[in-house]
Amino acid sequence: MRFINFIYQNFVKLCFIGFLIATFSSNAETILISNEGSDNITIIDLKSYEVLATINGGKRPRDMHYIPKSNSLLVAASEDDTIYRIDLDTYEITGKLETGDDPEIFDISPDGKIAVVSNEDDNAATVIDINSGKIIRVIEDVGIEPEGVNFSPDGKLVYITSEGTNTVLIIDPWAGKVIEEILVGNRPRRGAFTKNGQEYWVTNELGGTVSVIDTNSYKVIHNIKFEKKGIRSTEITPVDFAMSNDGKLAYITLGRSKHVAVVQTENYKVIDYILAGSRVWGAAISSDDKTLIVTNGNSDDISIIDTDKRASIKSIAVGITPHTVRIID
Amino acid sequence: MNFFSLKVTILLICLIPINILYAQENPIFNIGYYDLEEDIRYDIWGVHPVDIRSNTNQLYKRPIAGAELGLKDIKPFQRMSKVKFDLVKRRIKPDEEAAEAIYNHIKENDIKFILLDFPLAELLKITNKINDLDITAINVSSKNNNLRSSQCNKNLFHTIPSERMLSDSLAQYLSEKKWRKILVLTGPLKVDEAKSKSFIESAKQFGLKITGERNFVLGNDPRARDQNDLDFLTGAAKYDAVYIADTLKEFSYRVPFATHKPAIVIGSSGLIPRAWHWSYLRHGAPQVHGRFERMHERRMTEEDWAAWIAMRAVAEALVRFQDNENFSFRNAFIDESFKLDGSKGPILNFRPWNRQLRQPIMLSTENWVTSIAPLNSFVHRENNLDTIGMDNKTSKCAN
Repeated sequence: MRFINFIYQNFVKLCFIGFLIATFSSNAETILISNEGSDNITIIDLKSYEVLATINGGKRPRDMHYIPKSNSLLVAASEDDTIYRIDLDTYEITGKLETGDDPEIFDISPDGKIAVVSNEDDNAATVIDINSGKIIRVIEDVGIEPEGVNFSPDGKLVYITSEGTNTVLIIDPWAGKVIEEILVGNRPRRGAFTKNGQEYWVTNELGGTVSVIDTNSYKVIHNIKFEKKGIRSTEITPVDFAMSNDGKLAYITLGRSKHVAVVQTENYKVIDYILAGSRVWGAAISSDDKTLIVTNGNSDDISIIDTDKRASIKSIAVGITPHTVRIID
Repeated sequence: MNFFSLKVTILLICLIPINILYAQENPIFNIGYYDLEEDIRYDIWGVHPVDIRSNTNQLYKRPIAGAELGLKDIKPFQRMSKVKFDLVKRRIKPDEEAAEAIYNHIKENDIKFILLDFPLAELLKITNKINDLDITAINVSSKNNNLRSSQCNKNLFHTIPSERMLSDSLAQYLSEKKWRKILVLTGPLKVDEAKSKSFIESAKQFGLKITGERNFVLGNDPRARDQNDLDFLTGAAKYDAVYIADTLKEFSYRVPFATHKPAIVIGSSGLIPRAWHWSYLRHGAPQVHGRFERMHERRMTEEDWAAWIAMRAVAEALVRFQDNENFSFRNAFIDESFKLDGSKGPILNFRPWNRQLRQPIMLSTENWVTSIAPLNSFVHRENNLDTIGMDNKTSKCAN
């Protein structure tokens, strides 16, 4: 009886210690969601789907990138005109990068040295030294309302989608030059390189298509169209990508249509549509390609999608207007 | 080592990438913008001693401001359109004949496309006169229904919505809310009558009941109190909503909260259907508002939006269609693949039967967009945007 009492009394403590270990010792296998309407970041366990913590993300947190070396997270806080560095051991903001006005989407060079961010209101892209947090240069005239930013896999070039100009601009961030401009569909939102780096895919939110650009010739070589019975073409508003790690599939969120399209990368064939939530935008996939997470901007939740079943298996309430999702595993 | 030749070489190397993108100077593409010096729609009133309309900051609200933002916004299209855009403005003086002046100005200044900001009567004269120039024009301010029906012109497109699109939007909202009994108040102007007529047609289409039609006048004459006193104007009738048509908005401001029975006010005050409102915060609209306000230090009106999107339409047509055989704006605009991004949600394009830009309508108060039409429950067999405005069956536009 005394033993049981001992166990019982310490059970709460053990649980608490266990919780602390789970929360602070490592951030393995977590889902991070930036909530632009509630200025915070939701941290969710990838296995149990429990919300582990909700932390301060600055004003209007949007795009995020994980830095494994320091176990920290870079978060673009659009209304604070900065990118914050958040220590994922302590959940404290430990630094910030200069970004210029209204940073929304950014990317980090493969060597981790520089970041490039799109400044939607200034029609510019800003190149930042990550170590010092200082702006190296501003590249102007990258179209109206630049949004998607992606480093090419070799780290030499940056592709930027320009929502207002319906183009993709290819810039050399190291030299600060515009190299090429490619006409795509209407309101290009985000881009993603295929795993082999041979193609750059762009979502055209209002065009309702995905443009595939050959990264050698800089030509649009294919337009992926989406059609599903019961969904009007005007509802199909593609936004974000998750490219499977085996290089075979692309998951594309289709905004107002509430669906995620599954596309084969080798032949651009749309093989399935998975039902998610209202205005499905952000997407991320686990390293084993088993779990796809998407943010539903209009219903303040995320959908967990089993990629074998190609079905949503759970939805989890997060903050207001979830924007970006990242998986650390 | 000759330092001079080294410097020249370095300079040349630096210039190469610039040369690739800006190899030759693009030809100039002049867009003409025409309006009237004396236009009753832009008369200033109600500013002494305080500006009672300052909430909307509309003291100087000519839509040319939207065209100016449009010009700035289509400059980045120049790399793709291979022309250099310019806006050539001409304001018609009171002693000039507008149609004649514009006709000559187009010919003398190598104008390739025109934007028109005129009331109905002048607009009709101008479009008739310039027909033989075969130049495409966009109407950015007249909402008259006949321009999209019996009096349409093959060279005239409209980016401002028609009265019918606006009144259909209101009718959809009332129908959805089940506020079905409507009292209609009409002002003294012809445009006020046209507005009310349009609303009554919309009411009929969407199953609302007009429970009374009355005319209001400005003034304090006790002998005309049935027309200038709100208690009399809105008394002795059953209604859920009061519709008011008051183009100049001198009377309608006083109607909300002052009707005889508790009722919402719609039309020219209260809940107002508009093509654009500065309080709309979705679909990239805030970026457009921001650019406009930084440029002009005032709110962006629906006419500003209509002029802005007209400029974008020109750039979009050139970028995507100018290499087509027999390119013309008229054909490009009504091409099935023509798509325009108006920063208010769906993709926009022109109705081929009357050259009206399809678009959602913002049902707005003075500082908030309450709802967007078409409402979700109204569906059309082809395009839901065609549940508002005249479709190809109701429009009498023959050419």
